[in-house]
Order: sequence, then C-alpha cells, then structure tokens
Amino acid sequence: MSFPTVVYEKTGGIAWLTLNRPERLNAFSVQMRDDLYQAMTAVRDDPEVLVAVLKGAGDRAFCAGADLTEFGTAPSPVIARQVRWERDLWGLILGLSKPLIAAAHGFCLGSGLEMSLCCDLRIASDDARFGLPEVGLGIIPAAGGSQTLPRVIGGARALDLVLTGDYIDAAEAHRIGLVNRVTTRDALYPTAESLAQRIAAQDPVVVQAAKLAVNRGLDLPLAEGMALEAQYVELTLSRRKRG
Amino acid sequence: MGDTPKTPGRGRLPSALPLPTLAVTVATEGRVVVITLDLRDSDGILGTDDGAALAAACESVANDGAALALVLMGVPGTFCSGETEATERGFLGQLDSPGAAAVRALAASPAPVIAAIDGPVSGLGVELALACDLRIASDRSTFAMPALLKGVLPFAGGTQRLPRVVGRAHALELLLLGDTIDAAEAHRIGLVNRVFPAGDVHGKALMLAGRLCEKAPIATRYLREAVQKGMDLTLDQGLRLEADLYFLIQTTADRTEGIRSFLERRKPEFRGE
Repeated sequence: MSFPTVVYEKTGGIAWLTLNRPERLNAFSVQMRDDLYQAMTAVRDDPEVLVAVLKGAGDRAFCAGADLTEFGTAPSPVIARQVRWERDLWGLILGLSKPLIAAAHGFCLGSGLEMSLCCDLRIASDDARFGLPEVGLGIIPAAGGSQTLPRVIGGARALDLVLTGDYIDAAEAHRIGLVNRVTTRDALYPTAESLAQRIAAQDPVVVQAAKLAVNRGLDLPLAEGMALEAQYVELTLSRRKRG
Repeated sequence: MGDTPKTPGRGRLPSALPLPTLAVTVATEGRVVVITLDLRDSDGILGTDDGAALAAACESVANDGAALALVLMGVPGTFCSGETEATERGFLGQLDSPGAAAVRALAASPAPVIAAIDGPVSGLGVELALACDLRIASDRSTFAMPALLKGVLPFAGGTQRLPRVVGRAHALELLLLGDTIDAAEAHRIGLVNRVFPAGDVHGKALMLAGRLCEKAPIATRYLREAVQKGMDLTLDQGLRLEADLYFLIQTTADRTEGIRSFLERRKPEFRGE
C-alpha cells in the first residue's frame, strides 16, 4: 500500500511507515496528514499488524517539521479548528493500542519531533537532531508537542526546549530521556526491527494491555491507575484460563 | 479610561522600578528585567522585608507588561538559602509568608523567568528557583531542601513543584534526607537545565533571556500556559488546550511575520500583536 507521501509496508507482524518527501526533508504537509491518517487507520484495523515503525526517507531527515509553504493558505481559525478535530491524526495515533516505534535520523524538528512523541518508543541514530522551533516562528507546537513532550521528559526540560528553540543532539536527547536508545546510522533500522520483532513475539493482547495500562494510567490518580491495572490483569488471566 | 489589557511587548519600560530594600534591586537591560538579590549581609537568608520587596518587584514588572523576560539572580557567589526563622515560626498563624508570596509572584509572571544560580541554594531559595521557567547554575552551586531537619515542612511550593520538576523519587530523597547535592547531580536529575563554569552563569542568563526576547511574545506566553496548565490536565484535555491556543495564535500578526520571515530567510520582527 502506498500513498503520495507515505510508504506503507508490512513484513511479518510489523508495519513500516516511511515519511516519503525526502526532497523536502519529509516536511509534514496536508497531504501527509491525510496519508498518515489512512496508514495509521490501517495499522489500527489490520489484525496482522502487531507493531508499527515510523521512519523518514532519504539521508537527511526523519522529518524537519511542518511544510511552512502551506501556512499562507491556511483557512480561518474557525475552519482550521473544525478540520483539526474532524481528522484528528494525533488523537488517532495516541489512541492506538498497538505499540509504535519511531526510528529517527537527521533532522527531527517541530511536527517531526511531535510525531515521534506520539510513538511509544523512540530510537535515534547518532546524527539525529531534535528541536521545537515553533515559538521563534510566532506559533506554538500544534501536533501535541506542548503536552506529549513534558509527559516524556518533564515540564522543566520541556520548557527549555520550547522556549529557547535550541536543537539537541542524540546524546543529550538520550540523557534527558527523549529517546530510549541511540545507535549508529547503519544500526538504526536493524535495531528498530529487532525491537519490533521482540514486541511482535509477545502475546498481542498482553502487549496492548501493558501499553494501555501505562498510557491511560498516567492520566489517572495512582489509586485509579492501580484499579485499571487490576482490570487488565484480570482480562489477561481470564484469557489464559480459556486458552 | 479604564483597564487597558496588557499585551506583552506593548508597554513602556519604566525608568525606575520600586526599590524598597537594599537586598532586592531591579534593573532593565533592553526588554529583560533583572532582579538581583544581595543577601550577603544575612548569610543568604531572605528577610521579611526582602520577601515583600521581591514579591512587589515581580508584581510591578508584571503590571507594567513591557518585559519579555525576567532573570532572578544573586550577587556573584550567592542566591538564596532560606527565609528568616521568625517568618517560618509565624507561618501557621498567618498561613503565608513574604517568601511564599515572592514565590507566587514569580510563578505568576507573564514573561518567562530564568533563575541564575551561583552558590549555595537551600529551602526557600530552591522554591524560588522552582517557580522559574528555566534554572541555570554555576558548577560551584549546591542545592538542599533541609526543612525536615528543622522539624518543619517546605511551605512555598517545595513539596509540589519539586516532584513535578525532578520526579517523585528524586524529590522524596531530597526532602526526606535534606542532603546537599552539587550542580552536576542537580543537572543529572533535572533540577537545573544547564550548568556553566563559575563566573559565566549571570552572563549566560542574560544571553538566554535576550534570546527569549527574540521569540514571539504571545506564542511564548501561550506555550508556557499550554505546558504548565496542560501538565495538570489529562492528555486529551491538554491537547484541546494546545489546539485552542494554536488557533487563537492564527489571528496574530506575529504568526504572519514568523512564517513570512522564515520563507524569506530573514530574522522575524515580532511586535507582540
């Protein structure tokens, strides 16, 4: 399955989604939003897919941010807001129960970084650069970054990145917990594949229960999170008895 | 007449802001307001009048509305090591203290605040720093939350902001043991964002503040609101807040200027409108 700006491939239980505008550093465009929406819907609905990997085509970037050449044609704020929630790509990705891995190389900026933050695991090659330059352009992140980033690295570190717009390298991203692992460029996709295979080898219901327990639990007071965990344990145990 | 809404970057910088005590001085450098604490005579302890003066200074900068960034620093080698004993004893009776009021005023700043730390920081000093957006420190700085050793609790937000900045486990360790940590450890656990050699930190703070001033003021303010308020919301609610603020920004001239300047490959000139 292929879209104008996203390549979608399936090998085993792994879906590979490749942002494919290398001549524009994979800049996130309206077309890419629509393509990703379809590709992520396929990840959600295809029972053969157990885990997905998101990566960028070309040598230079995972995704260098939003395609600003489209910003001049933006509809009115009222229409833009309506469209945002009619086709809620970020909500779709964040709501997936299947695990997602972002494999980032080169520039991972703005919406690119935000896209990776919608994934569960982030691995990066040592040439990766991360940053949120929005405030320097007179706007704020709008692909969830102001919410997902502090939940991953904490509010204090998030404010440093978004207020200054500074770029950080893969080592610093690893130190502050923005990425889970750093590899050489050559090892990036093999590492992503081996992680994905290890996840795909587990019981998918247990994997998804674990992901949802963590992600939903983070929104809850501890006691309610513990209750949610107990429900998921119950669910997975009852399956084992039946099976 | 009537209240004119405060637009960041639209007010006039006052030539002189109130200087009620010698320990708290306020200076402006461009669009940056620098508040300096000089607590050398009191061994780093913020007196009752000093706390009130610091709160008043923050409120005055906020009301004026012209500052695009704030720096809170001590004179070289110092920051703040706590509040006077009298204030701490009295707090149960009055449920507040001038130091706590200063922390509140800092946290409420409409412009981003940088704490520039150089030297030993403890108790209220840590709480003042925690109320800021960014904390940078010299490599000779040390940090401690010793309230429990004195049989009291931190009461200027330390039990709430510290875990939100460094996480519950690190916060409990600092609060329960009262141990002093050095700048490297503070950096490792995320209590400070950046560490510089002694002697550099105040200059770096001004440089960083200058860079914050180059950003779009409304986007900066909304960004802080989205991050800070969003952390108290569920992810779903936070995403709503972010999107609404984003669409509101679409009505600003600064957004147009930001996008245009990027496409024209030049530096943007934001006006806060």
